[in-house]
Amino acid sequence: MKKYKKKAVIVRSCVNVLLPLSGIYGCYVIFHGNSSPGGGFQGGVLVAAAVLLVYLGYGGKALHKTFSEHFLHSSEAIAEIIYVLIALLGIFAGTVFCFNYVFPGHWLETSVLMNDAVGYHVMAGIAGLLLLMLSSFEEPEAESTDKPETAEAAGEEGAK
Amino acid sequence: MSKTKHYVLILSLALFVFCGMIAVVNMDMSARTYDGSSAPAMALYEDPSSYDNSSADGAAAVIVNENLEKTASLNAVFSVVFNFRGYDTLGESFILIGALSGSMVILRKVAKRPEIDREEELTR
Repeated sequence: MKKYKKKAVIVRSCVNVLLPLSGIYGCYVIFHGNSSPGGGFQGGVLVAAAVLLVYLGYGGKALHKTFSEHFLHSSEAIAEIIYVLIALLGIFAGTVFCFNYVFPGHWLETSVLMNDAVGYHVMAGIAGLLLLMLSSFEEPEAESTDKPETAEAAGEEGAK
Repeated sequence: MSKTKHYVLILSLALFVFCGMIAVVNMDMSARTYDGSSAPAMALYEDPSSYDNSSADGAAAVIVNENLEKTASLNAVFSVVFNFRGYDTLGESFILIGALSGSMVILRKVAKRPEIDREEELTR
């Protein structure tokens, strides 16, 4: 706790309350997508709001400590592969793509599994997108100390 | 050489448009599918359970009447999104991948590369 900025106590305590709520509510929307409004896309975006909340409460340093960009990108690809594999099971069974082959009529049918894969994919994708956008805010300090001359030269060129 | 390419392009485009026009004329001549023009809108709004879809045909009839038998799904709307239109959902998630890679190209912190003299490279 002591590592991060101490000033915004109100914002940080609000974030502490809202973080688990956003995660739980997003997962609820994903897992109940088959019988309620919502689904993978909407729930994934709700879970990805955790990135924004962590940034608001704890700043950019904590953001890069909590979320790994590489893991988010690779899990996005993994979710897409899971979606295609589950949908392809219908073709291997001798029918069509996206056919309800796994547990038809059960609560854990093919489309529910595909919905979960989409939720995982959107969760990772939007979180990675927000991480990229937020990380573009706070880079100039580290680079300006290394090469001040080139930055000045670039500024002059831009001015011309 | 370029002239023949030009003519082939024009010919193929003309063929494409011609096929499209034939398809449009055929669609216009064939019998209409169910469009709900005979259904009373206000009465349906007040009492949705009185909806009579026995006169529907084509894709509407399949989706409304035979949905649950065809997909063995529990929810009709959900089965439209993930069984009938599974390719659509797949494409939507690939759009997300495209958006992410596009913003990665713009926003990613580039590792420090050795400075290359562009003019020297060009004159080489």
